[in-house]
Amino acid sequence: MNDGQSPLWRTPISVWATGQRALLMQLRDSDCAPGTETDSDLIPPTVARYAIEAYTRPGDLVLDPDCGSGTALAEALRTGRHAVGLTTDSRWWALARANITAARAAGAWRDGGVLDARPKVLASALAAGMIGQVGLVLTALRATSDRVHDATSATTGLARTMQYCEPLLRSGGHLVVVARPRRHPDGSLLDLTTPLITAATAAGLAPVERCIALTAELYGARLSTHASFAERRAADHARAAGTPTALTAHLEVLVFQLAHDAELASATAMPPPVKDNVLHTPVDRAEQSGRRRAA
Amino acid sequence: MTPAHGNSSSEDDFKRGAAEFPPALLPRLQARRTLRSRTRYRAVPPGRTARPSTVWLCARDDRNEGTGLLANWLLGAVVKIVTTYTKPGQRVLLLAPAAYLSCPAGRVSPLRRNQAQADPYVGLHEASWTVVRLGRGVQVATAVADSELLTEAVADKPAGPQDGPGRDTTSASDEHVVGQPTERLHEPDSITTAHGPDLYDLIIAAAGPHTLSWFRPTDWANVLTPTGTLAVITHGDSSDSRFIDPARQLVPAARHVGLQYLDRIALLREPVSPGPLSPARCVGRDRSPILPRRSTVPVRHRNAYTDLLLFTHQRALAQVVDRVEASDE
Repeated sequence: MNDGQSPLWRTPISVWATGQRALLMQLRDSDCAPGTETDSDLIPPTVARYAIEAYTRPGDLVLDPDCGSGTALAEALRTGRHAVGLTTDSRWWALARANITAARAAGAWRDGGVLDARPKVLASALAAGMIGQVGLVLTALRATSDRVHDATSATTGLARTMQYCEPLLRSGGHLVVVARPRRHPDGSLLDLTTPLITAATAAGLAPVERCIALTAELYGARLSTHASFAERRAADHARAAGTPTALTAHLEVLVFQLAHDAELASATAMPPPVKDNVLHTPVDRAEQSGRRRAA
Repeated sequence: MTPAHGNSSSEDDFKRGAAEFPPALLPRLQARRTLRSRTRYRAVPPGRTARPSTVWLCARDDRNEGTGLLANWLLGAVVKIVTTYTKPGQRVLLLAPAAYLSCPAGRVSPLRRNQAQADPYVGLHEASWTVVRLGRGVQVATAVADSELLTEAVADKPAGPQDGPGRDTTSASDEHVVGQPTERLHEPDSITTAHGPDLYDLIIAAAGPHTLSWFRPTDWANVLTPTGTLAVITHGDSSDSRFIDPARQLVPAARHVGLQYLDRIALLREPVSPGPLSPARCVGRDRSPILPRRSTVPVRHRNAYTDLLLFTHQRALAQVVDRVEASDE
């Protein structure tokens, strides 16, 4: 709907049409190194690019504390942002290095690097220079397999990573988690949003948005999923048993912000207090929260 | 997208392209187009529904004809839920909270009517005749918010022959029997008829996130058949700039009553442009010389989808696992 407004002022919607090209084509378009597609939990380049451009400005620092094959880092460099990634897997480390090199060869000139380290290093003195400097923490929920306990442990690990990343975010920065829907062995869906939001809240972050990044292709009023053969087969069995399960056509995108930033945004949206003798307005509380965090 | 296609057919396009390409390439081009058209627009065999995906396009945000209460996207969603999760002859319960029904003598004040129209889920009961046309039996039930009593509006329509499109849908609401609010009807398991307790193969509930705090659709699990499905249509909300996810409340409540979390589907209420994502459109404020974005100005997306959360009994999922294991053997 235009609403008579300029397209410049049109508010973007929470459904991102990021699946118009298949993942392999996206990786090829981004000049990603061969083998990147083996990273089953990678952030698709179009999703990474959209999130980076929506939540940061050129020159910002993008951090992926569990970068995998480094697609988010490569897209950050291509869009004019600095990028830092961490991984402990030697295979992903080599691929991430190769993808960063490919981005630089394509003309990216910002600083970018990938460290062979755990996210815990972000809480050490080695990362002291990054405190309050990161504009966007963009990461994926990673599990070594589709097993439930792996996904649950991945959620627990990501909860710790959120705690490490919270002091690094600058004011106005965001933390974005991209998660692929997963299922229990009995076919039921794993609720990922609730533990992630709980973990983020415990880490001093506030959930501000849940967006849908499409992995399926839109053809007018139709949607074509890029589901694997195994997923289609499982869906067929479920449908034949009378309990249809849906093919995955999107990625969950959970967006968090510093809690005091959310309070500040809420306070600025509220009308000013009527009484002059109010001692602690919401803005004051947000500033005090910021001071406590800095201390 | 290929430009200048207009309304011409693909055959015309092919003839036009014949003049542009050398003859050796023409069979290859024709084969490629045929393959593309087959893969994109493959028809679903009759009598078989397509595999559902986690995103449904329901991009019709206008109101349906008639009383003008039911949104077209909601009607489309109900039709797809019914055809996906039930078979003809099975029973469906449409369950919705409606605060304005608590007015004395069933009168609806204009103020409350306006409030109801602001609620995107008002008018769910109007979908009952559409469900009947799909060959399913349907009942509707309404929960009243103000008095915390449950008034049941029952329109029992057995799954008979197709009513046909010419039937007046407004007469459906005339057959609703609005019961007196009694304590007995407060509990969902008190839905009984002369034939004994009713069980449903599908319960469709629609409510806003704030209403879910008192209107708990999962409490109706005991009127589901062992393989039945509970479908809750709701949406995430924002309070004090914080996102509130409806799954946080619904999923534990469903587990508490023995229901498993089957799926979470996004119902798109707005058309999504399939074109390339334009960063200038997304962060237009950043590039505006008039209002440069401060570091604390939040980037927000307009919510364009509604959540459909599906629950079922463990027994239904066990049947799926058994089937998969049998096929593997």
